[in-house]
Amino acid sequence: MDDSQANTDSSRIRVSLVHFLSRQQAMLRGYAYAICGDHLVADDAVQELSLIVAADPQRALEGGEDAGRWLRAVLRNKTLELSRRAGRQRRALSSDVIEALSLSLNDLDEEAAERHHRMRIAMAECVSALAGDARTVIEARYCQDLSCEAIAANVRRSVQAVYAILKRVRVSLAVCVNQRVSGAQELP
Amino acid sequence: MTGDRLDELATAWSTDDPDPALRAELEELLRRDPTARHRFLDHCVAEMALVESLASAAKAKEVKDSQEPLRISPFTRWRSTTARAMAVWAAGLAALLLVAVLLLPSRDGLRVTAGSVVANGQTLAPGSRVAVPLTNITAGADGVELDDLAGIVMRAGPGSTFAITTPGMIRLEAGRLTLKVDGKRAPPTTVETEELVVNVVGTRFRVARSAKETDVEVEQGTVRVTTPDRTVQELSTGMRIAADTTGFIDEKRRALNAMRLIYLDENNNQRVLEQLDQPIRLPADRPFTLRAELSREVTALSFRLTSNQNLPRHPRRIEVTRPYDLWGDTDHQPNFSALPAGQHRLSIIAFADNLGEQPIGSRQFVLLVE
Repeated sequence: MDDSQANTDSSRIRVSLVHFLSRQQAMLRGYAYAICGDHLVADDAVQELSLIVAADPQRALEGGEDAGRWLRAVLRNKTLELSRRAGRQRRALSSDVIEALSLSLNDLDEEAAERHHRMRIAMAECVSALAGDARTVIEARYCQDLSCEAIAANVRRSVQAVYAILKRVRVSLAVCVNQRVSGAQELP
Repeated sequence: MTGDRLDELATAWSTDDPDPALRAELEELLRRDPTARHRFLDHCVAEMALVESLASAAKAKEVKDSQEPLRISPFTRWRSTTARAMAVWAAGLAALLLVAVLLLPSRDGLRVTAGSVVANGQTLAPGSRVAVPLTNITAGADGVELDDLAGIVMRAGPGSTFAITTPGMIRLEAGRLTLKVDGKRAPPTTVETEELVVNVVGTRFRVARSAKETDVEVEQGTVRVTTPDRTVQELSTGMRIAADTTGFIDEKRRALNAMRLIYLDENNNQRVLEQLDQPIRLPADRPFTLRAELSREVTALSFRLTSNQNLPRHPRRIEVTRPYDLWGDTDHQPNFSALPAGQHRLSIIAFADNLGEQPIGSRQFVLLVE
């Protein structure tokens, strides 16, 4: 094989990898969060997975259907390792439950990955529509990682009121995301 | 009803301090109900999407705010000459700062400080500036020194080829890079090669790549090196390590050599097999399994049985997670099978990836079934 052919193949692999990972990313991020229950750890684990895959994209792609399993196996180990290292394993689910979730993901097909991908896009649109107290509270909770007590002190409301706002926002976001995802599914 | 309850439990689990009783209920539900598991995964995907969307929105706002034009209110009445003097000093200082900021070079790029380089087809001499991403960089005959003006100074050896995809993300294809990273100013810095990834926080180190092997040496500070099979090593001042595509050279081979083989049967009897260089004697027609235990994680372990007899199960099995059992396992419980009397040969091959391409070593055993 000459150099230009090798370069073309390498570019093709990278393009396929970007496509593959972008389709799987929402599911992988959700899976990492399901394992550890911590946004930061889940984020770091997916980042590290990307680095591992970037180091050898061909390896991730050549497995065909097994590629997804390989990615999830690497991600699970990485998430547990980072969770332990960060001392945040308090919320991690039991190992047998993690295993069961992993097996459930094996059952999911391309359509499920596509649905998760659409959920991710829909969420961005739904979040952009948030305003007022709802936005302040949800940003404080998720972006600044503040406890409900700290948020209550900042917005001068009771802790119960903050819980109520959070619950309301979650429900409204869930409804918004579902509507957008199911709306998209109805398109021809 | 179960769905609503699952949503409540998942939401409670996502809050600060989940109630242990609720958590136990959630786990029980996830254990027994596949639909609940799918719904819970949806919940987790939505949670992460929410965090990501909020972070993106916050970043977009930051950028927008930084691009807002500076609004200076007109001078109004002064209550005292002291206040006016202070205001004049403050205005002068602000003007100086503004001039300094305008004169400072942009941080989105690289400056060639010594040597020469060809970047994206353009030859750059000392003093030249170029913006990232740079996907195709080749250092000149005398090498090159590049300053990213954001805390990273890198020297590339003569003819080294590399790419900088974003500030701090460097991929070395061939040659040698020496980096000096200012931990307080530099963005998160990563150097990747085909064999490993180096994560850096404030240090001076060297990465060299040749003939499918990468060598990392730390002059000062600490780096974290990760191989594609997710093995991590921390290196501090003076330490050096080499890796190929199968991981850190030698360590896994040593782990395979130190492998323990355990015999298990259906009655929960188990024993560690000694003297593995001798034939392993096993009872005929009694269901059993063999479990391989390694001190280090491998990505896959393949069991291969060869025999002149008809074997009851598939003679080849690849295990990607522990326990590594000869006949596999179901929910961590080993599967058992019996072998017919005779002499069989067992090969155990360790892989750096579970796609069966990168064996890092193997061991052979003779099984004498009587």
